Amino acid sequence: MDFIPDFGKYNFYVWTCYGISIAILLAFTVHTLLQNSNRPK
Amino acid sequence: MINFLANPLRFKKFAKVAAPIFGVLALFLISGGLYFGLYNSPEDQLQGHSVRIMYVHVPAVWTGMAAYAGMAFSSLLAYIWRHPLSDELARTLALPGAAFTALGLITGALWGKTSWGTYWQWDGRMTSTLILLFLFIGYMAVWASIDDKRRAARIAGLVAMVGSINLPIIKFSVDWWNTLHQTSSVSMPNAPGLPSSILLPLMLMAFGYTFFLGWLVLNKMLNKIANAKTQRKRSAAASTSLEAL
Repeated sequence: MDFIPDFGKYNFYVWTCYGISIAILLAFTVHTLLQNSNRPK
Repeated sequence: MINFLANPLRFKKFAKVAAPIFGVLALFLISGGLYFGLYNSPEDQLQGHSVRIMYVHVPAVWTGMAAYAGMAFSSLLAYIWRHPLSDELARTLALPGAAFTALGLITGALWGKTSWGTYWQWDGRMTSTLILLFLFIGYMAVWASIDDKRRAARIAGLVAMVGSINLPIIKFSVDWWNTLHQTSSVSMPNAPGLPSSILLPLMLMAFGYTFFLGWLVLNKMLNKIANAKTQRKRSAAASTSLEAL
């Protein structure tokens, strides 16, 4: 099993979709965790 | 349950317990979904590897729609009981809802290019989903453009409630009109039309995104409640010091 599998002619499309999805989830996660760390007690 | 959570203190207690549970569930479900979606699911006979896009596309649109339904319901509760928590909950759902809808549209366009040879078609499903994104943007624009927060909440709530008519249109658009988009593959009253090897990553991602949205919203609500409490304390302290003068 390759760490970064090759999806042939669909490689660009599949990885772009997963890349954008993971980036959005990470952006929301980091933003929320930063807000939590600054939350007044 | 709704009346129970309408109290900010009780909501805070609930959110402090539920948020970490939702976060852990989201982490495990999304990790599992990504593993099965990328590494451990078969190619489709017709669509080849491009079927893997479905595991991020469909859950994104479902979560966007769920966020809108939550926003409209919460706005309705705010109209009935005029409770500020309901308005804040609706407002908190808007940005993640818009992001998930945009994600669904972008991944759908890329999937469309591989399946149909075009990124976009003005058909019922795609157009109604684009309208959903515009409704989210309109809702946020109302909050951003009106200084009186009570008035903003009234108007934005109305946008959310009226716009909810779009949700059944998105759902049934593939049945009502001729469309490039495929009809529903997963339908609750009927048996799922997908094999378990495809259904597993799809469902893992769908529940993962839903718990992620829950984690996100509960944390943002906790932050808003804490900030409101601090502001109240500051105002009280300021008025006390003014009285002392």
